[in-house]
Amino acid sequence: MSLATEDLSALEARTRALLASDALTTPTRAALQGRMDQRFEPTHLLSPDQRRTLEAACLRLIPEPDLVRRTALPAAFEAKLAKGLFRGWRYAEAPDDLTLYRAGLDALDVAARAATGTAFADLATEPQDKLLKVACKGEPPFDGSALDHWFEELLTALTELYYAHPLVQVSIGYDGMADAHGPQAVGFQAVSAEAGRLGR
Amino acid sequence: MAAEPPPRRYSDREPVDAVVIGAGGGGAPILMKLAQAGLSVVCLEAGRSWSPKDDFASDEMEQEKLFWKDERLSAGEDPIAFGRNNSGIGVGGSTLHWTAYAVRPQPDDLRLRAEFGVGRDWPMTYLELEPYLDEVERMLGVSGPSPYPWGPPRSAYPRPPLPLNGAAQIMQAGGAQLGLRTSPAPNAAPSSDYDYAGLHRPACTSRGFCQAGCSVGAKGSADVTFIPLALRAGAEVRERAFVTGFEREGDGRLSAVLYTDAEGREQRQRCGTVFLCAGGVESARLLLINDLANSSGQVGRNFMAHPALQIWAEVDAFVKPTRGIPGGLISEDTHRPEDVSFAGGYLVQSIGVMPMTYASQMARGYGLWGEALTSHMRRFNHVVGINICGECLPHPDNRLTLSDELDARGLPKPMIDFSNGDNEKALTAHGDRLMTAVLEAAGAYALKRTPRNAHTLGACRMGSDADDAVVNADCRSFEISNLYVCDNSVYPSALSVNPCVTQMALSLRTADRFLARR
Repeated sequence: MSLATEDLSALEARTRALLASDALTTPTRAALQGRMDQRFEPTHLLSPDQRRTLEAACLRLIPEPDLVRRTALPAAFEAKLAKGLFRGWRYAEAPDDLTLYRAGLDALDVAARAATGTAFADLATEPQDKLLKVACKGEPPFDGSALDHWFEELLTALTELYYAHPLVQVSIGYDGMADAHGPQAVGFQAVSAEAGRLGR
Repeated sequence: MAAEPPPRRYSDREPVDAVVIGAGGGGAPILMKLAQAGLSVVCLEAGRSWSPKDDFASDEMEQEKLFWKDERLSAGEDPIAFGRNNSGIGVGGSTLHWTAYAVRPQPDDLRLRAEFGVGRDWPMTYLELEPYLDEVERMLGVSGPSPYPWGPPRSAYPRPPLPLNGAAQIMQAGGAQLGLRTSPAPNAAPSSDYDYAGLHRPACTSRGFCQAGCSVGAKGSADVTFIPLALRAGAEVRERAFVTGFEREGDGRLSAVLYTDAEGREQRQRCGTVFLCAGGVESARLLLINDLANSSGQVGRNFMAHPALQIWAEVDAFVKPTRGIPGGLISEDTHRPEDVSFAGGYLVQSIGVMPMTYASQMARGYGLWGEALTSHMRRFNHVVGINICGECLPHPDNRLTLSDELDARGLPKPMIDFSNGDNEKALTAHGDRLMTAVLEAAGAYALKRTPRNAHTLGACRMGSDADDAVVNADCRSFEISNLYVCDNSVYPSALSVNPCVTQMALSLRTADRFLARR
């Protein structure tokens, strides 16, 4: 069910009921309930302008505004940046994460002001998307090693944070966390039978 | 189960017979064999031990604790995405987040140069590995088809195959349309409760979190197989011990291993022999940092990563792609395809996937963002995937070096240059055409390709020539007689199969060869 047919409070109630149920193991419940109620302290890593640009970019990269706000996606990203993203690798040409993300957010805002005289965050969604398309391709002014793979890294980091959130997971119909009752309860046999009916 | 005896503790002032560095698929089998032979042996593991039931959540983000997260720098035309896809940390190593895919090599996999004139041969035959592969499959309780449709006859798998998930059934149906033989794949998770060597493991529940840690303890990762048997035989596993260097005798032999303990203190463990099993990147890195065993200049060279293109598609059926053993179905009909321009071959496997990993692949690997991303993710329950795992030729310029950047410990970060060569590109193109045809024949649509290379192979390769390899067929250094390297870094060729069971078999053989020399 998508948010078009279900409002946020109903989704929230449904998700909390699932997480509280005995369909989850204790460690799974602890991890997901913790994420449901997580609050993020502001950091000093981003300037107010960079933060506004980030918030605006989040809403275009993942255009589900109710859930992006409810999951505090920009703040969650900033908090993860403060801890170090620790994905285990980075492109050799790229600067360290913090330098890269700051440079990318600055570049986005500078490009918006150069093209329109307006901050990125204050643009309508259409010109925002136009700039993000240029950034996605790494075309000028988003080229050069200081911005190496910047868009890909920001998009991937936000996407992973977003789809790790139980509200978002339940909103796309995912219930993989509900597996405490073993093979009969994971929905596997029924899925197996249905997958045999192929095609369109 | 009987109460376990208290774990053995060795004094670091007295030399032990052997130190094993790393408690994963390379080190754990050696640790077990040496302890069972009565040797005093200590394993130094960078991570901690886990209790699957109490510590593992059915949640990808929580389980990122199983991935090796010290930063690596990826360069070349096809930079390797490390992190969740490769090395692991903790007692069990990368077997903790292993897919459980338990495919054997075929005999000709070890004779690539003899057959095609490229790459390298293994300095041993399949027949020498076979009894160890049998032992590994029994230990792990592999579920698979008997008889197995490809390769030479082999002993029956201990358990019948696991149920096929949605992706497996789609690949099966598409393969049948095209005349591509498929079969349920061998997987290291028992399809019914399994007892072996006094260890009990429950049946796989098909929850589908193999790559995030098996909370039910079904999957045959090293932490629930080799490690408990090693501990029972008197081995010690010292957790959160990060090895940084070695002490040497006047004759060049190693006399002690230096490490940082859980409290950050510098420690040393004296020992008679060192088994370096830190994984495909860290073993070569440690040798380079200490300028050891590298007069051939081969340490770090010939880094290989299997071409592993994934193709995702949608089906109308509701398939819940996370559920079931991820690699449910296999075809090895492409092991040595005819009328092709490339050396070697590949296998095809169906793949399950967890939502965060899939979303990440769609963003990074396929470039979806905005409405295209969110609307596609609302179709998650209708996604199926298949991929290949294919031969990768060694190339001296695909290599691991030390970068100028230092990590938090003050050690140089590893830099890995990797570019697919013509052989890998041609093989991938062949696999792309085949997988596309299979998915379309099954009625799947909206295909999305995510290119990748998987596994970390070859940076300390074994061979019979000291100028061309780092270790010999016994995995012993050509230069330092009491240093062994035994993990994926010793693979002289990539093999056209996933590496884990071959590694465990090679480790058992290495332990036997060492014990026979004593």
